[in-house]
Amino acid sequence: MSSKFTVEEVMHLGSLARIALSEDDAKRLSKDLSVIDEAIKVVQEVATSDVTATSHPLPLNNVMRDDTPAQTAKINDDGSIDLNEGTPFSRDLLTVEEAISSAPQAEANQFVAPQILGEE
Amino acid sequence: MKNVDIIKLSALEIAEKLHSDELSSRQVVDAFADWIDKVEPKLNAFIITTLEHAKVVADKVDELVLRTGIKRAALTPENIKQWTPVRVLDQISEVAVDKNGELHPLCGVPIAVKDVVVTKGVQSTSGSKILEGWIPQYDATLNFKIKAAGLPILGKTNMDEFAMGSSTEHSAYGITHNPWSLDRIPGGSGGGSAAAVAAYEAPFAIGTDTGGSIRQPASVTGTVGMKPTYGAVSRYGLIALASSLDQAGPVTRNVADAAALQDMISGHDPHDSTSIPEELPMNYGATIGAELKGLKVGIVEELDGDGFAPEVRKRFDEAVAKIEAAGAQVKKVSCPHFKYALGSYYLIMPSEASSNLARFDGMRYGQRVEGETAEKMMMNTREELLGDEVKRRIILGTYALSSGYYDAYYGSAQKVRTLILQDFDSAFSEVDVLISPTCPTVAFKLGEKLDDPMAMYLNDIATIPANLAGVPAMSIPSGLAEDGLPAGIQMIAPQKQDSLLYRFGAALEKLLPSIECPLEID
Repeated sequence: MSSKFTVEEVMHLGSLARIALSEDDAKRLSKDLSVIDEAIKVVQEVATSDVTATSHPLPLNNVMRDDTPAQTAKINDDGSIDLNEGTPFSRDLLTVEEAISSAPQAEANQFVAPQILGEE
Repeated sequence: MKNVDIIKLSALEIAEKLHSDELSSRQVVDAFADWIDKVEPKLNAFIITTLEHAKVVADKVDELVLRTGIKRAALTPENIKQWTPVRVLDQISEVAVDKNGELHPLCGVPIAVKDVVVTKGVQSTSGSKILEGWIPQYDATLNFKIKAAGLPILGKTNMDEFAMGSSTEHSAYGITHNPWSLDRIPGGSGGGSAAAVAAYEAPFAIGTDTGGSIRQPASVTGTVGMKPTYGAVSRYGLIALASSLDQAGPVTRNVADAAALQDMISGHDPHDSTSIPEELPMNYGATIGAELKGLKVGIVEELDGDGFAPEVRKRFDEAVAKIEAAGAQVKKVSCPHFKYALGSYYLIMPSEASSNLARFDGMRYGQRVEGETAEKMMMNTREELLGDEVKRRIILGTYALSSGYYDAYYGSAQKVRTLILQDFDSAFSEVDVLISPTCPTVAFKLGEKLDDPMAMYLNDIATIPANLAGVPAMSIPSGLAEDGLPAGIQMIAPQKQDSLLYRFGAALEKLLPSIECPLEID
């Protein structure tokens, strides 16, 4: 199947998605992108202006909660944990140490990242 | 009882034998552990097993029951659903008691969990290299419930990377083989959970379903798979593929086990804003004494035709005849927009996935591939550590959501969702339950469709509409079809009527041929 997408266009999508695509990847993907054109052709047969869009299958209203931090669960002397009433999972509140413990690189309780701002 | 007999018991049968002290939890876990050691080299259903910890939990449950006098809550449908943990007894086993000081009725029954589920202290990769070695600091809500209920977790099951696929061939941790025929796919993305349950490596397991990832593997491995109503089971701590479609559910060898497992893991969760606030009816209770008499059943006309293999259709037609003979009314119904479902799905799923997977950037957790700047580091990390199918869908989604295309692509796909919901509404005004074959064919050969994504996608043609509409859908085995391999029948009910589906499934299951995975057991 021929594609209307050029390798350059695919490389651009790669940079938007923060993927350093190789040229081979981009070539392969330029063909695959035609799949989405097929999909859209089919969908637009019926997706006319009089049809409303559904973003979510169940009609739920906005869910609000108080803007207060969760509490850590209380650990008893015997090592057992009483779960907070109504919110049994609030024991999931992470400490800073826990939050950074899986970081590829961390220092002084902070994530370490390579240079973020440009050189110019 | 011999190990070979223990592993063939259903989850509820194991629970009964634990309650009557005929078995200990440790004996049960040991039986599965032995069998896993034997068959895993052939199947690769697990990314990692956690058998030592499973034994610790089993010992703890046994000790509590035998030595401390703490009781299991009686094995009733009400207790399975309503038991709520109030105190975790220790931080190693994490077994909890409820307000009556009792253990969950299913405590001690082992389970397997798909690797898409975030599990505290246990590697969670979602089948991807980018998360290799990630040990989460918290539990998904459903995993917390499993641990609090005292179910020893046998391991994390294999899956297509980030749940993208229908064959489990896109896992970064090797392919999983179908226990019915080792050169066939076990389905996907949850091929590991389905293969493990089919091959008696676990009595039941957790799966997730975005476009059929519970039901299609169930169909091709001869197991039972249920995608609950969207929002019935918390998505908190599931590594997201497409947030408006994803739903976790049970993978089992019979309908009653699935109902009991869904009852245990479901319920409102304040951590998931899309979780259904009200309590849904009991599922396991609905399976007891279930009958088909008086139900109105609709065959979806659009889920039939040339793509469906002759013997798959034949097993389906035989099931229909049995449904009628059992006193249900069967008629054909039309869902004219189902033919647009696949197109809509392949716009919505990659769009949501491209957004969800932006979090894997090498910054805060997971693996990193170095680069001079933060941006180069992200680009190198994602290029090197994401698989081809994942990159493909991210690029498709990035395109569909890019400036100027959003309304035409994602917006149009969402309009099709409205039309599919209307099709379901109209069908359910005539009938109680809809049925179709789950998959067009039996399990295909490993590698057969790997180079043809569209052929792979067509496997999900019958399962996708339920995800787009958020309705519950279940697959149970319809018998053996082409090459002596299992086929499935899919049942779909209106939103929040999961219990009706369990009732229907439990009654139908008794009428269909019982099939047993032929894996050699010495």
